[in-house]
Amino acid sequence: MSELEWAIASAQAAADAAPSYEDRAFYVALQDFLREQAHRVELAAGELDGRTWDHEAW
Amino acid sequence: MKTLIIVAHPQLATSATQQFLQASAAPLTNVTWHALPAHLDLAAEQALLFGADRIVLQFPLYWYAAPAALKAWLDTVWQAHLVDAARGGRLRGKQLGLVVSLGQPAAAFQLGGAVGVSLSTLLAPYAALARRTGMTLLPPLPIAQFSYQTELAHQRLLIRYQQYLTAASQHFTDRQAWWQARLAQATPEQPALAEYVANQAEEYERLQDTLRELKAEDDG
Repeated sequence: MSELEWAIASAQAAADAAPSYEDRAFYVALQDFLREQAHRVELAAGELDGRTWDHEAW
Repeated sequence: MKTLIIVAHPQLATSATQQFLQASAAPLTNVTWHALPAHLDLAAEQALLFGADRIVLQFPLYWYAAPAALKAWLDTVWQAHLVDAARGGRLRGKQLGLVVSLGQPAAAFQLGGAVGVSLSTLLAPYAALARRTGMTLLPPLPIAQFSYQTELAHQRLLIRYQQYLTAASQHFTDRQAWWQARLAQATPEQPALAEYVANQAEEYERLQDTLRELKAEDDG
């Protein structure tokens, strides 16, 4: 299980155990954010790779 | 930051959308829910208006515009000699938000759609208003066909609305900061989740710093 999968599973467990509607919504929406955050990190890492391997800069 | 929600809805008590939004805003601090009264007390309305940093106009779209109560409030409370930016307006530097509920699907509001014009086109007067008063207009939060939405969509809306009211902006880094602040207050605590989000935030910031340095080198 990746760290992201673990985090999403943890948020889902927190949503399932949440005492109120608002708390449940919080942990459900958090899962969307966790995916978005991981995607942003991946994009930034990809951009960095691309710039580092820019052949014109060799 | 203080947020003022100006709610203009002719049938507020029976509006499922507005009841949902009111319950969503209730737990938030520094957020004032203000349903427009039938008779406006000018001094009280202006005190609320000038005391807020972010003013959110919230209304259903009736015949492609806000209900009459909102226009009456604007015409009465936003006195030109007080709010005109060129005359030292008291709204300068504040933010103007729009939460608009729609009876048609969001996709109807585009060129060639059932409505035929975009929501941005219909809401253009608020852009002019923001400009004239020196306010920053926030991207609107449209809520299309609330009653037809799934439970999951409602849960997402609750949080998106809370962020619209209280996050510094809707940019990624400001929403990230919002999540971190809320996770720190979560009961029961979720230390492992909070730590994961914080580590990811640090990693993102580290990558962005490096990218900024590289771009600066390229430009130099």
